[in-house]
Amino acid sequence: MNHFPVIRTEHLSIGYTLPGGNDFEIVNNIHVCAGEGEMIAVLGKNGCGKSTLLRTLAHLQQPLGGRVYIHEKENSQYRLAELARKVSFVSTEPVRLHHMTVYELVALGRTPYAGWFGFMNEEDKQIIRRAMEEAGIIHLQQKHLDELSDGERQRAMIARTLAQDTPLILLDEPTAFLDVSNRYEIIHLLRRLSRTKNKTVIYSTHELNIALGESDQLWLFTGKEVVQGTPEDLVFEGKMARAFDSSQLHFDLLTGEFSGKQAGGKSVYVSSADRQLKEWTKRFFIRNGFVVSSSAKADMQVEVSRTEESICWKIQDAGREILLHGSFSMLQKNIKDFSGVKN
Amino acid sequence: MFFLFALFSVLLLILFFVDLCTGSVFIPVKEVISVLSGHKSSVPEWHFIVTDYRLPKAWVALFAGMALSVSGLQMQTLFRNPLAGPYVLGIMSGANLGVALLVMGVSWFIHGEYAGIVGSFSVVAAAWTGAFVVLLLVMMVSLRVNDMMTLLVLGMLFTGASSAVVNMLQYFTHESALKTFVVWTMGSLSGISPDDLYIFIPPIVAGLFLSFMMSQKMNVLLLGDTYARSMGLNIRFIRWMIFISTCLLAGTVTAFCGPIGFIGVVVPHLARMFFRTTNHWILHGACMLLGGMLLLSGDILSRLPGHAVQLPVDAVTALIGIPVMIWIIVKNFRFVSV
Repeated sequence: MNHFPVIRTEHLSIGYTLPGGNDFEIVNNIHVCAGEGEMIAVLGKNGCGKSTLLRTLAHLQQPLGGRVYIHEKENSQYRLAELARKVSFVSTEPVRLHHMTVYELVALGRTPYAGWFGFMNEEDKQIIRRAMEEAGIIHLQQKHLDELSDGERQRAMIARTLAQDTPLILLDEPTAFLDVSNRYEIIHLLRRLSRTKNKTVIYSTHELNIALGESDQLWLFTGKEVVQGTPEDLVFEGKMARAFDSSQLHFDLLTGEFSGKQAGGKSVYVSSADRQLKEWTKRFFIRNGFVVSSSAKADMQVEVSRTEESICWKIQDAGREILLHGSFSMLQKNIKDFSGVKN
Repeated sequence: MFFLFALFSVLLLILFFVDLCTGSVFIPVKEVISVLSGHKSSVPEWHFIVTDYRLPKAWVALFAGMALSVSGLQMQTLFRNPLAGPYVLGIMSGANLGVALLVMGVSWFIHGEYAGIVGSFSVVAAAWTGAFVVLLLVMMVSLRVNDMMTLLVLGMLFTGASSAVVNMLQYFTHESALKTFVVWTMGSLSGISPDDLYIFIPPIVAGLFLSFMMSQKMNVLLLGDTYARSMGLNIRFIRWMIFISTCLLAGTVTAFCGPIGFIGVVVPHLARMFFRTTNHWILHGACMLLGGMLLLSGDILSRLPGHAVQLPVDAVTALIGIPVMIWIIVKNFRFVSV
């Protein structure tokens, strides 16, 4: 395996040049790198510069300073067609061309290799076929793009990058318009490509679960800088929490999820022999504005148990004890008596 | 697909021939054939009408139809906008302004005699100059503005400004000069002599050739600038080639025939609906065939048999083209898109 990074940046500063010549800098001094076959998620809040970074790496946009090296050569030093054989790009804006077939779309990926007229030889056609097979859309090749689902269309866009046959694939929010199962399918497809085809995949996302669970490295926008690390390190060093924390959100180190903070919420301690039941009861209280406490000295204590017919909650609140039997919707109906907000 | 191409080619030939056979003077089909095959007609006037009047006109209809349709296709692809047409860059308004300045400007200085000065060739030159100046302006703007939507809006603003100037001119000008101008703006395929064809056809052939050469690039351009660049295209070069081609096509047609707007917008849609593809190699061919067909039919229907009256060809093409378009949209229930 090659130890040189496929892509790396040096003192990179990204942003826009405003009309009038002033620079609007988003983040500066970015040092990140990606090796062969690595899957990298770019994480950060909205407007933090994820897209700008990806576009700068792909040389679709000029950096305000610093350098981007692709295979140890500066990306601005490549000829256009040469760079297009190193980096392929999938942008956020969905392609809506009703009259284009999947095959036609994927075949466009051969543009950097084809001559002026774009004629395809046997080898090109083979590559296009294989790209469609890899992406699992070979059976759709004669369909028009308006006949595809969002997930299938995204696969077609990825097949196009495979036809472009680049070691580096950049994707700007590839899961943005997809439902949960499609999101995971697309990410697993990318994961497989990075593992089996040794592609370096860099994608931006808002999905914390996906980024933490499915990437080798994270590039995390913390506001002032971009930090690189394995997902676990970034979580344990508290950088993840710092990047997203706000007065409204709380990053849970245990689950790797964010939950809403509610100021002044009553604290509740949940205990049970049934772990599943305990977990969902906790969620229920959080959803209703309580703060779940890990100490039994909370404002309110709840003990949950399950019988064959129903669930039983034993609630101790300010000296009174109440027993509730039934389902969660029954609990919901009675929850107002124990309002999560302190008076 | 080959069937459609063959069918349309045959239809185009038939329409071309029908165009030669119809007109205000009745000439038997047999006589038209004999004139075309190089024989003398039994009536000398008929011979003259066919070779010097109807044949040039049919050629103009054919080439203008092809040119406007291909130019419309280019603009729809370049701007990725189904409403774009040959004139979105402001080429027509540039030509308009050129002709208006010539026809009405000259009438201020030379009273009575301007009719001769504004003969066909100087009008052509004025329209061409106007179109070319606009092209240069667009290219200069596109050096600074990278966003195509902004360019579209600027084209619209320029059209507005030049029509304001034209309106002012119309207000202050003599009646007869005004009429010359208004007649020009209605668009006409006649008024081109066989000799004019040598000036009319070469720029159009050049424009069509240039456009054909850009077919593959236009396929990529459809995905948008980001994708086109990420696949290694030199966007600026391609845009300029398309601008030049459109100026050659739309500029020449406008210069000789006046503004004929409708078919440039509609034919690319017809082509996409019939052939169900975004491949510009096919769309170029389809646009040329359908564009030629539509303008020839427009020309045939704009001449009422037995009358010297001729309806404005633009209006007639719109009247036959719009129902066809609506019928196809409703029947196929397809989205109209580029």
